[in-house]
Amino acid sequence: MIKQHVFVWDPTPSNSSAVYNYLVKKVNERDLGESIEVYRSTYIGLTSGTPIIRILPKNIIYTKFEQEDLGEIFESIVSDEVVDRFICEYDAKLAPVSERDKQSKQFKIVLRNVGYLDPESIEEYISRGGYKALEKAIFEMDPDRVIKEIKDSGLRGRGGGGFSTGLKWELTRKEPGAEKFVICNADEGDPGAYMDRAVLEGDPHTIVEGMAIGAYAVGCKEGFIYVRAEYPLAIERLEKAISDAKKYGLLGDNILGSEFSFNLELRWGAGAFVCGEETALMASIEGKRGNPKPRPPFPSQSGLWKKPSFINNVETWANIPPIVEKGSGWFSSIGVGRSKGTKVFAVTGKVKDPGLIEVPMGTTFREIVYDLCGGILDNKKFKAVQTGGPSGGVIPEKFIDMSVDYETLMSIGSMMGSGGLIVMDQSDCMVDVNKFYLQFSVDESCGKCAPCRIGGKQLLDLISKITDGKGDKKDIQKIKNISNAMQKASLCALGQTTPNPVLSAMHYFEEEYMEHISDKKCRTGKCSNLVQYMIIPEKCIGCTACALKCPVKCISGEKKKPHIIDQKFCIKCGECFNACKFNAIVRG
Amino acid sequence: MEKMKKGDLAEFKKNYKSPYKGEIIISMGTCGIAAGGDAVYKLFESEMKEKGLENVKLKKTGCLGMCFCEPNLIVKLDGMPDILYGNVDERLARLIMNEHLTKKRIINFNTIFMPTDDIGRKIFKD
Ligand SMILES: Cc1cc2nc3c(=O)[nH]c(=O)nc-3n(C[C@H](O)[C@H](O)[C@H](O)COP(=O)(O)O)c2cc1C
Repeated sequence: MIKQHVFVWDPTPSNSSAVYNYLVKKVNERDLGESIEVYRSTYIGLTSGTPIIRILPKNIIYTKFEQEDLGEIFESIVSDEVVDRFICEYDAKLAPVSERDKQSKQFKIVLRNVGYLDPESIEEYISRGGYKALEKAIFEMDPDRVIKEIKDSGLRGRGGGGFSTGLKWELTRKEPGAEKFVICNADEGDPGAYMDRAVLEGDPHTIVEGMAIGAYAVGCKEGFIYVRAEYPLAIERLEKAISDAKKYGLLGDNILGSEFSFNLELRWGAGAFVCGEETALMASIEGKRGNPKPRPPFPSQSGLWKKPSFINNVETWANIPPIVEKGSGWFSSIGVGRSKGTKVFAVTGKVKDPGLIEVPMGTTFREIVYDLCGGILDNKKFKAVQTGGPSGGVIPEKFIDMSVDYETLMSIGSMMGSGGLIVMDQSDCMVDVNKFYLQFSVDESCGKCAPCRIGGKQLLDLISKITDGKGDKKDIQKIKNISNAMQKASLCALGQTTPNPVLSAMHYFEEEYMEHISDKKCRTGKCSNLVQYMIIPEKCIGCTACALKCPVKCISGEKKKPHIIDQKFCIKCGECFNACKFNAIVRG
Repeated sequence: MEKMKKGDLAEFKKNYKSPYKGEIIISMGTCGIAAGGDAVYKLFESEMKEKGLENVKLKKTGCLGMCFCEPNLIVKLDGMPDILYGNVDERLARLIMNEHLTKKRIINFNTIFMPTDDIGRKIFKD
């Protein structure tokens, strides 16, 4: 009999896990150490409030069993049988069951190779079926057929806008002119987003293959990957991928012996956020200053060097080979409504297991935060998620069961954005978060158009006034007016979307905003000008815990006597407040 | 290198065989390297030679997405289930070489399960 490996995950500390101890005891009692081995697992691939058992090599997962069921489970392991009623199965409504790991809510298309293959080895990529889609496109499909397939798949841009990828290709193909360009936008600039980096570093050949297919479909001989210089490893691996592909005849002249030739080059971005905007990006490739241009004319009509051009995001490109390989029907069966396929999210902030996840469109925020990322850190209360970074908005708790797709997010005043999800708990102040994003947008505004350059700064000043305790009720209307002007008159989406986080937070967290303005209070203590920490002498026993923690040493007092905070030097960090075990420190 | 022609890809894939008995795959995206994946890689590189474990391939990969337990690595050995270890430090790395690779015994802590199977293989299966 082959050896069975039994992994136990328990939310209680594993050395006191009753499940683990029971199974180990049983194995020892029956002297089965040769055929069954029990282990403690730190993370079992899914989360739950109760223990989970995973048995390899069969890969059976048991959940929702009680202590008294363990005997039965143990016997089943010994006799190599399965107890059906404890088997864990998520319902697979959003992705085809046969290809989805039933035990997880994730479904990987974009990240299919990331973390499995050696990104520096073209041999491995080919051995996993790489470049097969390119071969299929060139030899079995004409360009129009490729475009139709992409259009029918329902794939939409993953860079933020959500425009139909197939339609963009078709429009560019229809333009007259012999010279056209294809571009990959790898300038990922949203704070907290690293989906594109993971793909570039983990599976660079997918981007090369996807772009070669795009070039074939639209009729381009040359393409560029615009990658930010802050991603040196991505650049290194992309360069290797391109040169290897050339050596194998998968890029360059007469690809795979066909008539089709395509050359790909890298261009480095120097780190301006606005250079991720497509027209600014094209200016930057041309060697000009990265300023956006008014549209129309659209890049499909007049793009790079005034030639018809089309640009897609890294994640969009990574979807192309599987769609060509498996067909539009397969792809459009995943997801909900008009949002097809999957989306990669970089989940950060106050979650237990932050990381990169890929889920079918239509998965809910609750599933992402609680089932995939382990819930809120320190078991605090969920407050909101920020999607779409500095152009998006906040999603309050009441929408936590909402499906994550383009339309739904739009309808509640946020947007899909590129995929950064920042989770916030009750200790985060919404006004303070808004100030952070506004500061970012102000720093990154290129300054070409007045609404963005001046409006952004005015908004930031108003918000700073509020967080400083000098806010006025009239400021709310001012913020709305400026926002309105920016949304209508800014040249590019940077200025048009700068007000979004503020507007959505003012809408969903109005009470918190008004507290800052009318009561001059910040309930979380994040806005340091609105808080004061004080020691209640009657409650202080003089344990000195706070004085030891204070980073600026402004708490003084004799041992066993009430202490006092010198307000002149206090930096309002709140360390003393957290350190006090006697509730003797108040935040006012 | 001979340039590939139509049909060569399938041929290449069919004939592609790893001469190794197993693999150690270390997550080494920027994130993994920053968390110490580089040092773990170097340790394996030097010690595996010393210990005569050259029949196991040491390999880099990108970010598995499991930021909360970096550096992490997968151990694949013939006849054993694939095991992912998280928060790999020097001690665990040595244990993996001395126990898992040498004696085929899985280490009793820091085993992690990937949230999904290797779907990539299934997407492009023949
Ligand atoms: C200020 C600004 C920054 C942007 N940054 C990025 C970026 O970093 N990556 C990206 O793919 N798209 C970015 N975009 C969106 C691009 O302009 C463009 O819509 C996208 O690359 C199109 O690709 P898609 O259709 O595949 O989404 C940005 C847009 C704006 C207005």
